[in-house]
Amino acid sequence: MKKPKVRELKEAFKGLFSKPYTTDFPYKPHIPPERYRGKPEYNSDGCVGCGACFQVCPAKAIEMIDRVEDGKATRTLIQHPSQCIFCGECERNCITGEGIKLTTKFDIAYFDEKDTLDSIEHKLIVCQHCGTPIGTEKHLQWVFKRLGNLGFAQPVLLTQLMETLEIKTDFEEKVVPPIQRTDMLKVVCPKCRRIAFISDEKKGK
Amino acid sequence: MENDKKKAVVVPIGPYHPLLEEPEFFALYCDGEKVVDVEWQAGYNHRAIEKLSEGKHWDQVTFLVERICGICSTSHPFAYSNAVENLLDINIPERAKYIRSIIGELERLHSHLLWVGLAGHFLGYNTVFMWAWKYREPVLDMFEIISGNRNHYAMFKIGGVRRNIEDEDIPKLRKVLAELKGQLEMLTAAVLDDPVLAARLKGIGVLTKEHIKNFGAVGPVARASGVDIDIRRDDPYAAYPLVEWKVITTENGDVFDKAVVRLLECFESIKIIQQCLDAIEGKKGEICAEVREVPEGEGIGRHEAPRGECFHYIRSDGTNRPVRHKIRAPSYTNIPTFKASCIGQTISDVAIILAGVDPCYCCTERVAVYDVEKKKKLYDFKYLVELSREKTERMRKKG
Repeated sequence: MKKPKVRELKEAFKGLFSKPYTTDFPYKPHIPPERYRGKPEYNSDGCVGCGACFQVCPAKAIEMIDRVEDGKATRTLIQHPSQCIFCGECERNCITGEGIKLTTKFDIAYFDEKDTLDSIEHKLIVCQHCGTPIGTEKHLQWVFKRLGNLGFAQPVLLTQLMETLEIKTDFEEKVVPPIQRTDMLKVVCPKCRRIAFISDEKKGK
Repeated sequence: MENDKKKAVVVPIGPYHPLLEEPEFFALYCDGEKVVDVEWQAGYNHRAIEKLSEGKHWDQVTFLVERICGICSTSHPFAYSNAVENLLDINIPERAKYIRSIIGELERLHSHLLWVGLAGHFLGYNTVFMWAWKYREPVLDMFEIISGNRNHYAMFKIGGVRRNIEDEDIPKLRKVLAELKGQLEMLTAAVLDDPVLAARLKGIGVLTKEHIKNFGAVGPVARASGVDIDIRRDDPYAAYPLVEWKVITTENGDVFDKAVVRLLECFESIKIIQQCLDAIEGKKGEICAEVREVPEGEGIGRHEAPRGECFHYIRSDGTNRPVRHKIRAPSYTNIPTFKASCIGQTISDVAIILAGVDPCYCCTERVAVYDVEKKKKLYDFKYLVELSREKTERMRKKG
């Protein structure tokens, strides 16, 4: 019994004279490791508002709201840290790779949930005929950049490009029902374009 | 609780009890100090994980199953990835295999240390508790550096791992392991020599080989009784066949031997991690194989979790979600051994016997439906089997 007691006493004294393992956190700031999974945050330069993060989130912690109000269409992406499980799927699936990133912020306790919400707003392009969202302005520009010349084959992208370049034409841009063949080159959703191409509402009736 | 068995006194433990870390209910039927029968009820924590998983994509399910258990949180994704890879019939990159094994073994280390600490706490031996948890802390910090989280590491992905272990982290990990080995040697010797622990644990809650086979117990509980089973060796996966280690078994089957098995397994885990680190250090390689889609079919996956064999079954109909996901956590077979180990013991010993199998109740939760008015259990085994056969018949006719 002599030897074991010495061994444990040694450990006990070691524990007595060594610093406690805990840190002085509230008094000294805690620096999390580099790869710490903290609160995800949107980056306004990188985010194009495609909504991929909303689609892949396993915990449904990201909310996507498409709002169309008196001619103004916006898409808002809201990240709820209270529901987030910090898996990093949003970061991994981000189409630009820069739009949403996990930060090392760990102090997300709150009194009011609104203080911790992280949101980003984008201008939304909607179908001029039925009002279905087609995509955000930035997303369409991003797609156009990636497609190169092929982008000219897509009427919506073409119209978008014209708007970006501020090219003005005399062409009537508003879709006036009933939908016609000429409306195909305007901002219409794939469904409405199909109607314009195949059935041509005016002729059909 | 009704005393329908005409047994002397019923001592209820739970559903909310300071000794238990999770909600579960035990009814101890006692004759004086002696326990003559024990009954167990669960279902207070049921979250319908299997049903939830049918509504998630293949990739999202890894995060869902990770949250089944808070302590062995990588064992479920491990078994799930094995199941889906079994269905896909793919080989994962070698580096991913090593990283998987490192994560699995680090988890075993922290889980076993947690158990040793809790066992000491249940016995009122808080020095063991404090020391074991102190040694566990650097392991959790290592997890934070490698994966970004102290728990729920989110490292697993179908076809590989999500995050690489960088070369700059390896020396840190080696240092932690070397320190931990010294501390574990001290702790193991201290626990095994201690006269108080020996008096409290030896010959308590004995499970014989027959008990293990009858109840189908797995993991350290089975190995402590001399049943030599370990999925890592019997059905090799990840990097376990590529490194050298041995399965620890003891013969007596009491709580003391369960502690011995767990403590000695920690040394094997350190050995495995060190060999895995040797294999990946300074080398570069893919960490994930590309998985485009999951075909129709079914697959099974197993993993030797700290508590025993964890089993996952997956059925796919070719879409991006599983049609059926069946999970059997190790505690599901370990918990019924209470019927054999608790009976004949005194109430004071039952606390440590219950803790001795390292039960994880939330992994084990099952649901049962009762008709309160008629006091009858609905959907019993016979009915469910019939239902299942009918469905199989329907599917066969459909083609």
